[in-house]
Amino acid sequence: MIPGLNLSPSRTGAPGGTATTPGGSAAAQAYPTNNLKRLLQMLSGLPKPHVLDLGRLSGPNIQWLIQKGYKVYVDDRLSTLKPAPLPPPPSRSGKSKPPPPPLEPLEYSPGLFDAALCWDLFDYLAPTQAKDLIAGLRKALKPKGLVLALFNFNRVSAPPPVRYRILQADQLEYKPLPVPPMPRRIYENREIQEFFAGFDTVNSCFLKNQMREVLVQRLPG
Amino acid sequence: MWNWNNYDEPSPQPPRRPAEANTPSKHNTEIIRREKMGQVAIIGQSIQIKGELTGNEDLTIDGTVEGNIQLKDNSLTIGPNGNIKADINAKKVTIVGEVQGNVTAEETVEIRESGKLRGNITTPRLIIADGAFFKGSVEMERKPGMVKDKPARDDKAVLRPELLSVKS
Repeated sequence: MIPGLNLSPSRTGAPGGTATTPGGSAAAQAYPTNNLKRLLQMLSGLPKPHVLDLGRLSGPNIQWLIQKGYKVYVDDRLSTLKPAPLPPPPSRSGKSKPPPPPLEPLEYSPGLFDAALCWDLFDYLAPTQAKDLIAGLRKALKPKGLVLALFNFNRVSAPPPVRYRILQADQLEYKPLPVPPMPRRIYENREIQEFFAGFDTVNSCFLKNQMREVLVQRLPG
Repeated sequence: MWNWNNYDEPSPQPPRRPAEANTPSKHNTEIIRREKMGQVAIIGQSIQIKGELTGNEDLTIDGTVEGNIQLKDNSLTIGPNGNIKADINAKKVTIVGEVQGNVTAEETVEIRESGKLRGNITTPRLIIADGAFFKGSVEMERKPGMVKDKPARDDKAVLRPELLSVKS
């Protein structure tokens, strides 16, 4: 059993392998994290850090961050995302697959943000969409701007989209959303490194709950 | 005429504990009470206003307003049919309908489940329900002498489960 995730089919009662409470509602799961704490430490000392949250809209997270003195920008990318179809199985027909729909570009001034939070996001993007988003993000970040990104490596079940909530600087909670499962990809480490080619890796760790947390810093130039 | 019961939760709410008295629902209860007493001005669904809207009483807008809204000492509620394209400055702002514009509130901004806001928020306290839409920036404007923030752990003291709210 994977600690902290509880997505094993034998324990699930909802489509997509959502962990459920006895009452039937999706259960929130908390887990420790070091990368958010590290990000916050790296932002400390800045006069009024500008932070962009690209994950699912979370009121408590926004309130938590503004209480830290940050200016928080909210841009819930998944709320407007048209899910990209998963690639078809390999065939010999040689037919080219349709490209995924382009993402809305990030419309922010260059060098505006000190950090960006990408919670439950990249798993639902096609590689071209993820690359486009990260390229836009790189422009919108200040030099040495930080990105915290989460990637799900759970190959056993298909967890539905979740909403992350900051409980403390070193503790996150996620709760499955009552929405239909979306096409989800599992990106390998090599692909993640390619996505963040213009960044320096501050820390990357694989958690017991099958999540990979990546904290990267924009390289100058 | 539209009233609060049209969009309040259909299921009965559990009794509220005194420790949680300072929640958005208390604000709602106050508005309902004042509305029943005729103390809340209402702009109905068919009304369209262009220009500057100012006043000294609580206001509910269920119509369309384009321009600028100033209710510095009072509460403003954008009802489920409300469609606002204006900058808003009020004591408390509750959004159930749609707003496009910057919102400044001295006390609280609340975006309900059906609420949509495209614009920037300046407020010391923000409540956003699951399912709400918001795109923009949030900045806290703290007045001298305001109560110090409680730690994030206190978030769990919020009463209404459908709201992810925190207290400042």
